[in-house]
Amino acid sequence: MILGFLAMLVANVAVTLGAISITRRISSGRRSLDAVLFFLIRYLIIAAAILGTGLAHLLSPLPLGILGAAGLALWAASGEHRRLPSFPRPELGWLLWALIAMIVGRLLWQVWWYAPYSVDPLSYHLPKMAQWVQQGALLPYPRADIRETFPAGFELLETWWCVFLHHDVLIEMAGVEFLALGAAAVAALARYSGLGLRSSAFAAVLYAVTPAPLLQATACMNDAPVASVMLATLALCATRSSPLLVLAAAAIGVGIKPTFAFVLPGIVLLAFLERRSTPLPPPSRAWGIPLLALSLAVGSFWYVLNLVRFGNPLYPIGSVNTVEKASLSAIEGASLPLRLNDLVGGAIYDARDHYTVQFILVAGWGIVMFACGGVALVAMLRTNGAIRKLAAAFGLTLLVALQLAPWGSFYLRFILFFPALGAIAAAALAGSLPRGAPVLWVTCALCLLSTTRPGDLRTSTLETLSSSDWHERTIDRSFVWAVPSDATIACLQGTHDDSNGEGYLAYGPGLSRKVVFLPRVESVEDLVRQMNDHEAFWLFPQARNGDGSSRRHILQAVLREVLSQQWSTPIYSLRRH
Amino acid sequence: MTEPADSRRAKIAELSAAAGILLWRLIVLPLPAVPMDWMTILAIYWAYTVLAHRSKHWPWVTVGTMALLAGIYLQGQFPFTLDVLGIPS
Repeated sequence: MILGFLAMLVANVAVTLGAISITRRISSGRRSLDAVLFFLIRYLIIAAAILGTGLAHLLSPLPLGILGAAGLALWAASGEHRRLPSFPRPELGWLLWALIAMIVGRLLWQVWWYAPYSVDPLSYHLPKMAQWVQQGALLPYPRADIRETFPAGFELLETWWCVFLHHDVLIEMAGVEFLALGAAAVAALARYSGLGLRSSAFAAVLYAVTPAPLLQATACMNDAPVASVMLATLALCATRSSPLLVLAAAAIGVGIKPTFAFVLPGIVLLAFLERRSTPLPPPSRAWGIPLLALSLAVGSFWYVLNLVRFGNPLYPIGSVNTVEKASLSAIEGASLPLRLNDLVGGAIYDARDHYTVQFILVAGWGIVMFACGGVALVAMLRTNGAIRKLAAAFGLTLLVALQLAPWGSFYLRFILFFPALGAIAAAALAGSLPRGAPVLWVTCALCLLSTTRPGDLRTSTLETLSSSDWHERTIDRSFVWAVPSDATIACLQGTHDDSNGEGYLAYGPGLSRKVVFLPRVESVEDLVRQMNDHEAFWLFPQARNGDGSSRRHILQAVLREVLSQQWSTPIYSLRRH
Repeated sequence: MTEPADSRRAKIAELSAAAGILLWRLIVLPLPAVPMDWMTILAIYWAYTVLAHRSKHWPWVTVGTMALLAGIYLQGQFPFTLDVLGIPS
């Protein structure tokens, strides 16, 4: 563990310093964009390192630590340490600094105390991440769920935060990094809109306290991260950064989630509206082209992998009926008016349910957007040409997302980028109308209060998490005392339309248990045979997972006393081994 | 002083858009729900801003609209905030 911690330290220092140096070399001179570029490049280096070592079967602390040390030596040998940029503390005022400190402190607290809890990460985002860390390689996938082949650019960063300690205690840092990217992008967009340094920082903070991105930052969900990359791409486009950089950001976004593509019409529109403004100086081709090539490689990796493995870059969409059904575009239905009406007439009030990180019933745009963002947008659209252009791009993206978002009630999670526009307008209005500032600060504080706990996490679960030792911290304690940490445990494979499983829990927080996913169970005897073949003594049937007949066989096995339940846990063990 | 034609046209366009939003909300919402509707309030504020953004009352109306919307939001969402904080509502 100590070696892993040291490797993590060295690798993170190397990646951070490397990203700073590359940012300095490709910087256009606008400091507001440098932070955006820094987070994108840091991600890119990490993603490339995880993909490279994962493909070479070297995904473990030592090779990554050695790579980090070598990078650090190279960095120092090339004299980069003498060219580190200075970071003067911006004059933001004590109140804004206090708010930033509070947000950062709370996020770090949540990173430490939370364990993955949301159903999507538990069922199909994270099992493959656990498998990668266990096997030190990207392939094979665990076959935990039919959706595990979706692009996994965000999981690469989560892997980075797990592989060194062989533990998921810091996994939420990945989401925090992307929230920082989103806030930096909002600040850059605010600067583009003519706001001063302090107002731009305020806009960034207003976006960061918006319930949806704030709660998703520590929930292992990839919707807020992709929204952050959308905002970063819009910021690069609005300021007329080099097309190489805009394309690089877009490639990163597509590699995190295909729904990033919803922003492309907005980007094209913004580029058109800004066609007459002066372009920023481009990075040298020696840096710009390799960066773009690396971004394209990282972003397209998942699509190429699916094409090679299944003959379909979007697999399972278009290949497997269940997912196809759930992912059907709404393009043929009259969904746009219905969704628009649902959004502005219901979801935006956030009054149907708690803020859960799934965003099925509530938009999670928060009180700042509802009370101040809309009003500020009306006021600022009339006087601020840049905000008008942004509103056109954001509005078009919103309409495209509402029209094309996959079928179902969870369309709200694809529009998490939009509150950024309200944050920018509200900060601009507060600058020109000081009387409005108190309302804005109060709503900002209310946003923080209302997101103290995500609705998905019960108070009792939080108490369980906070009373656990960090190395045993998981939302389902039954695994800790029912199954040895080095056991092999069988699970049923997820089928999506039969709801989600939570197979990731079986790995344990130390990612130490071997987990085998059974695609189908034909009979009680077949279940026993498959478990014996895999030397799995325990079974986690995931009550909500697996197809109906498989679950029936498990019930029969319990009735025939082939399986016995481990006390009152959802875990069973074989009676005859 | 006469208003320039461009500015007059822009005003008419904005007022038409605000009226269009109002009409949309009146069509899709039951009448009692209209006064508390986010879009309706924004549309009315938009129309007022077009007509009176230079008046001395505009800043107060702006702050008042934000406060009104905050009240409407809290009426629905605040019980959940209290629950999150462990305070029975």
